[in-house]
Amino acid sequence: MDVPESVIKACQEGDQAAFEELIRLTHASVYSLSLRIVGNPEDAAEVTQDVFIKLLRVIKQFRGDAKFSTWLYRVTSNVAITLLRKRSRRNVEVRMEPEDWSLLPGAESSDPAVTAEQHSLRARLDAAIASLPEDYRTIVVLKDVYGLGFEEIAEQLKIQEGTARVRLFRARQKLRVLLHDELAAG
Amino acid sequence: MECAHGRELFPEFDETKFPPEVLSHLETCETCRAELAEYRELESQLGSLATMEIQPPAWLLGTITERVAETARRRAVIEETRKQLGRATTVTTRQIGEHRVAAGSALGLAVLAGAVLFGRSRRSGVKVAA
Repeated sequence: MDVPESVIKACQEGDQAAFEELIRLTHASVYSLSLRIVGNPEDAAEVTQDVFIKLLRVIKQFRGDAKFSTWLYRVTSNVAITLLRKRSRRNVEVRMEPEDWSLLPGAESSDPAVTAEQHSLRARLDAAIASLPEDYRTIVVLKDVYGLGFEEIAEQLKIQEGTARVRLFRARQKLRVLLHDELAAG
Repeated sequence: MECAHGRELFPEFDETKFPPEVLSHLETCETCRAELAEYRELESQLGSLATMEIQPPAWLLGTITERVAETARRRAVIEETRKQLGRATTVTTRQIGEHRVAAGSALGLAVLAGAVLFGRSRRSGVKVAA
């Protein structure tokens, strides 16, 4: 995700065209993170829309202390976790099928062999992550894939930092077992 | 040192935290080295996953843009209405204040008149209906 500073600044000043540009540049990243947390395309699309509606209101709060991508991931995870809570209150069962998620064309290499390998790696990783219990999945996605800190993850999930660390530890152990063949070959 | 001790640390992804006995155990234990290598590979693969973006549905970009534009329009209307209402509220508040003074005076007068009438009726022995 690469958003020019000028676009962010214009968005903060209420420039509608700049906001449309921001949506165009970042919606796939927001969707990808949402999908990896909530696990199904319909909910991920809903989260993605809600993130940009929220951004209209909160983008002025971005002061450039962190990278914009990190800040946006934080906003996205917040919205996604809220949806997870609503879903758990309704006891909604979600069927995750990461093998049906396709990579964005821009992320692919021009070399077909590399592209095939990327697809395969992405599918295996996403499938392994998707098979984790929700508590573990959210933490591994936020910490190991998107690089958020323990403190903010714990705050968003309303758990102790120590609990977040233990869950991540167990999630990694499970992932290593699930991906043993690929990791040993790597 | 037993393998289990080192293995408890591997999922931390932080080799700087390994105590010397684990590091020296790794030099001699191939099984632990292989397991640690798997964790290193896992860390690297997970770290690369963020750049592998998943294709959103084709309709999503248009829908977000429309919803955002609609929300921005609505917010602008609400903001404008609030500004106008804010002015109106100021006037109304002042007017309400004036009305309150007038209403208070009227009530005071009514109470006074009632008291006078009540007093007269008691003196004259006429019952006044409550």
